[in-house]
Amino acid sequence: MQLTLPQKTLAQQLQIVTRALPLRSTVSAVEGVLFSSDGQTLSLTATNLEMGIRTQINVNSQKKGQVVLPGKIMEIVRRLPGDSVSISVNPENFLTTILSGQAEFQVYGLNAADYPELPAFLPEQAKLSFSVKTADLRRALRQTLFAVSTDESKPAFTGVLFTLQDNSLRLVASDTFRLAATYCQLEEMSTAGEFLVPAKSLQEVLRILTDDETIVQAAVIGNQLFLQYEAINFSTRLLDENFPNVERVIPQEFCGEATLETENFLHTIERAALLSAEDNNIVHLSIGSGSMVVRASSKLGKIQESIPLELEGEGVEIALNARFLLDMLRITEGHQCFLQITGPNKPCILKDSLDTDYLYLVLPIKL
Amino acid sequence: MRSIIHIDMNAFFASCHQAENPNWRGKPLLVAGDPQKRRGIVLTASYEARKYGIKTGIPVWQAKKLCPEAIFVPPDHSLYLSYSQKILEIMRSYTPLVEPFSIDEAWLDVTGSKRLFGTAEEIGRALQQRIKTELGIPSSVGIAPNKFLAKMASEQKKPNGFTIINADNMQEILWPLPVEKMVGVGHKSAAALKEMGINTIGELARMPLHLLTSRFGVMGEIFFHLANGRDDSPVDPHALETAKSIGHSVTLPRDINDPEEVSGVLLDLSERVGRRLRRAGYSARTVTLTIKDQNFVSLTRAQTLNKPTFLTETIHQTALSIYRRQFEPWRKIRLLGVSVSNLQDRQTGFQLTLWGQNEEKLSRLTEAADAIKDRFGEQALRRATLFLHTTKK
Repeated sequence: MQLTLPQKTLAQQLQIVTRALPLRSTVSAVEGVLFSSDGQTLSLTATNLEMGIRTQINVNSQKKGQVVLPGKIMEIVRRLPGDSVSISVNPENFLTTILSGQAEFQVYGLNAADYPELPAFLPEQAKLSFSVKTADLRRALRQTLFAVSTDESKPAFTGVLFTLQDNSLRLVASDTFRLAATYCQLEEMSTAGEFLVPAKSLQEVLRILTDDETIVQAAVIGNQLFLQYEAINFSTRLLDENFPNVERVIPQEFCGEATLETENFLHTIERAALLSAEDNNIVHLSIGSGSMVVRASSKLGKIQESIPLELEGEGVEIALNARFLLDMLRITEGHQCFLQITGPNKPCILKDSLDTDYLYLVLPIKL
Repeated sequence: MRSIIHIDMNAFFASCHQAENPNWRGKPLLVAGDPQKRRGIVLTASYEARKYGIKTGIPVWQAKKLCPEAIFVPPDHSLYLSYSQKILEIMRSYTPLVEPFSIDEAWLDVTGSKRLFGTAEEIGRALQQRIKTELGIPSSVGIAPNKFLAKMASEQKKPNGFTIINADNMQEILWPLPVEKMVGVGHKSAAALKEMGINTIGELARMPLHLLTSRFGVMGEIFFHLANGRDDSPVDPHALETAKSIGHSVTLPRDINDPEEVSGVLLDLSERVGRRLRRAGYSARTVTLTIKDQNFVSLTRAQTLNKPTFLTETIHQTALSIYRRQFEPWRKIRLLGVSVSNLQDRQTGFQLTLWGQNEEKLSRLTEAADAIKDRFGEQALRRATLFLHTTKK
């Protein structure tokens, strides 16, 4: 393999694919990035065997070939002095020479034959497929990903449930203590269906996607979800777990609804969280007509603060985990948020005034 | 000579509720699992209720029969914790050397406080008085030259006891007591001592030391010195914090590798660990499993939980999952140990869940089971799985 390309382009693409690199792997080739050129396109691949990322860069007809270079290649390319970079591989021993400006690197490459094959993207075998604007998918991921569980003993809750129906995509995430559900308008959609995607993979998707109108093509093939976006191919294994019935736990009737200024609510809870007991970060909310009193106490002391609100229906005395509230309030975009109440020791629902389809349900702490 | 005070709150849970609600004072009051449902058992009975023959561990329906006018209240751990804190505050105004032993008892070393506050007896009286008048909680006080005798002293009379043990009356008070009344002697040790013909603490004190050490090892020596009123352990204000871990292990009578049997042993160990953890008012974040195989090769692995626990079930499940992941099932096991570390004060309140185990229910169940065991001994209540295991074979 021999090719020359702009340093900036290579550095950018390497930064994307190396998101899939595992910290360590039993197969040493997997700890590296696969460089593969057919003479016209250079494709870069990295995988942690759960998710994989491949990007493609156009290169003008040059010598083709393949090599696996250590993960450090990203750092190397990023720090190269020249505007362009030349890579040539000795096919005998995979010794790779990288030239840029006056710098010359010799990197010990590995045989690409040892690199695992990524799941093949065969669109004709897709069980489900859809397309969505990147900005829309990003918003939906931001609204849900924080609510997943990190507890590996509850594997179903380490994923985000994707449901395709009526030309929309619903994302649901829950750690069993709270639940976030939101929708994306789809550009296109195949048949209805649902699947569970590991949150860890989606965290990387969120980092890679740009916040614009570009369209992401998605397909479920076998037990993999594929996302195609510009020159990036992303694939992840799906979770083979049953997500419990979501509709059953979402209350449909409320005894009260409070309207609050988002920023006000957020800052008050942030202050209360400073003195909420370490483990479940308890804050007490006393919601009455006209105002809500927020109280918290810990070994360090106490805080009490009152904030104005508009209340329809009944108020409530409720204790909640402050972190759960903050997670959602920090990403709320509307100036106002709505707190729907179903009674003491019962779930409450937080809503963003700018996106009322987005639902965030929090279960209280029973004292 | 040191001056050690031990204070034990009387019917603490019930007393807290009576202190909080003046209308309940002087009346029979029962803290019970689920008073509405009529099921559940009595966790603590106020002294007024005990006059009717109501004891910890009896079912609610029976308590209602014995005393129809009794007041039933559900347990409220945050209330007990806040009273416990206030009591410790009062104690700490006399000496920094306060060692909480559990939520309702503590030792104080007042040796250095006498010049400021008077004799140990005066301090003891003042403490008992202040805890009673300022907080409304009755207590029993024991004063002695060491921790062991101080605790034995406070056990003498309840409620509102005040007992001083010194070199002059030590033999008179301590020695006639049966060995099982001795702090540190458990059911098993008591049975073994009785087998040796030792029934009272006095008999234990007069035993030749070598007979005790040959039967009980180091513990034999400890028993001997305690029975003779000797204990030089210091009052350690940080004892609970420095108790960095709580653990139990057992060398099995025969090597085992049946996963079910292993699970049974782990459950038994987890229950002991859980009991001590709960007694100290803690929850733990890390569970450690120790396994020694037939070739004495040992393996120790820890797992840190997402959130701290005080439940036997969680400790057991975690230990079991470490065993399943880390130990080859064909290796025969000689010794098993379970311990918990990363201890912290038990939090109040239960985070409700959409799906999954109901922590509140489990915790109430555990509380009830603990109360039964406190009252009737460790064998009073056993898990069916453990029972199945011992009868199998």
